[in-house]
Amino acid sequence: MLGKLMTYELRALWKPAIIMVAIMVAAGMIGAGCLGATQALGEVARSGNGILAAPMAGNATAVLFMAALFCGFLVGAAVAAFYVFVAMRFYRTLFTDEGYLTLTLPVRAGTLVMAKFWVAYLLLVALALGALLMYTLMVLAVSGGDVDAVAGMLSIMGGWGAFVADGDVASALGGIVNTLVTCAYALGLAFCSLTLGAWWARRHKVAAAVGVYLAVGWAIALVFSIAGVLAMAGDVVSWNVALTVVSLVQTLANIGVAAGGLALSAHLLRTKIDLS
Amino acid sequence: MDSVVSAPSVPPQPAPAAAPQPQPQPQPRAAAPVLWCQNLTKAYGPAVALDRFTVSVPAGRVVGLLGPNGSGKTTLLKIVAGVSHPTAGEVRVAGLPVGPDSKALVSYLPERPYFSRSMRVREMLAYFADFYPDFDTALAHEMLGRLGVDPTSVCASLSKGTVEKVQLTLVMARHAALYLLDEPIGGVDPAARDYILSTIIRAYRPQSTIILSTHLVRDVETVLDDFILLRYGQMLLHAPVAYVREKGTTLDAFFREEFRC
Repeated sequence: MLGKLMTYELRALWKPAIIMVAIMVAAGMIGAGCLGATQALGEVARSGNGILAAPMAGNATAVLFMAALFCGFLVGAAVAAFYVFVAMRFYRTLFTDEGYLTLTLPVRAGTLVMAKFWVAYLLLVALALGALLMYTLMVLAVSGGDVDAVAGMLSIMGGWGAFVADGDVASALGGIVNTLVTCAYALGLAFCSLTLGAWWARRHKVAAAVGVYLAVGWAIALVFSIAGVLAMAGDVVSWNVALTVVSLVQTLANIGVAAGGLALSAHLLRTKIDLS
Repeated sequence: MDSVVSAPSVPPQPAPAAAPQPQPQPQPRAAAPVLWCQNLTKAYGPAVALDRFTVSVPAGRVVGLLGPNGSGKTTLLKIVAGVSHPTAGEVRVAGLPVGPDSKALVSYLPERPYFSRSMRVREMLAYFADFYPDFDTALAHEMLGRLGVDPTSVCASLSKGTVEKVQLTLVMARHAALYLLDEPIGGVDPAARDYILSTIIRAYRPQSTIILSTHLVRDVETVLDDFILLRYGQMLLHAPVAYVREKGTTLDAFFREEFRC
């Protein structure tokens, strides 16, 4: 049954995913092109040929840089838009009238939730990795093809510099792994928040779900931000190790939130959720 | 008022599941009542929708679930279908607690449309065929043909009445042990009402049980074997329709007398 449910989920989600990939690739390529052009214009400005060349190149650089920033924003927005679409579909198919179809299927609540999670997760991961690829292209364009700059960018997302050298390939891979964990965390928290909102709130269930999502998300972020600040006490070597430990604990916490959120969501569906 | 058909207090047990079954579809236990409820209670905060409802419905009956608005008919059907959860009490379908196995035996028609608007009718047929081994695709196509619905139609393009008929088609094209039909003739014109009732009668199989909730008693009276009267979430009476006829009245007149405002 899991396979069948996943097939139907995939049929519902592949079109928006493809649209978002198209937007992301277009924005990424344009952004990388704009950043590459700023480099070329910088050469013109530095060469000082002609009285007007430098200021014109400066203005064009500013415009292109703003365009590249907007493209970078679009790349991230495409991932976010798909994430919102997935959350809306989860809510619509389980807690609105469509729930009468979904919740009367002869399958376990856990199977329903996991089918939705795995398909959404795989597509979200594909989009997130696509976004990283686009940002990588943009970093390569702005750094003139410096691979170390890319590794540095990716390693920021992992934050495990004490175990693997910052900017190293291992560190960059850590950043990618952390991105995958963050996707699971985001989906688990969203599914759990929507289920809690549908269970608790008599009215404005989606608003309640958004409230739960923000409250839990911010609480977790705040705890680890404080832990990160506290970790920076002491000398450079010790705070680097402490920060790495905080990053690792945060990664484990994210996995816990994802697993716990999905389990709680399935439990509430099985025992508490009443369709109106 | 007394209950003419009493309910046993011992929950019916499902068939032992020691040996693997060649057929993945859960089978109802022949001896178990198709629906058994014991002190079933559902409260929404201070409001009690079902109040210690106890009933036992054997297989092979067409049962009318009758009562005025707010008497708990929909709540009962939702609980049996597994889209709502009781506050207290027990419910079994063919001896099985409500869950994936019982859902495989129950064909539920809610009172509201549940189609995804973007899906085509043929996709809905495929969906049912994929998830319900007892779904008869050929029968569904035949019923849709009689209805004049093009299977390639997008659900969003269908009228409200047609959506209700397509939904009924999907539900009745299953060879289920228990059909739960929530207000299937409410809010439709008399011609559609006739179509719906004839569809129900035509699709009815002697080994199946149909529980049909409505307050349009006159329209369903001729198709019912038994009826359950509900008021304020409590069962007033569970009896064969013959019980009323022996009193020299009709079920409709009996209902009107019982629920006179």
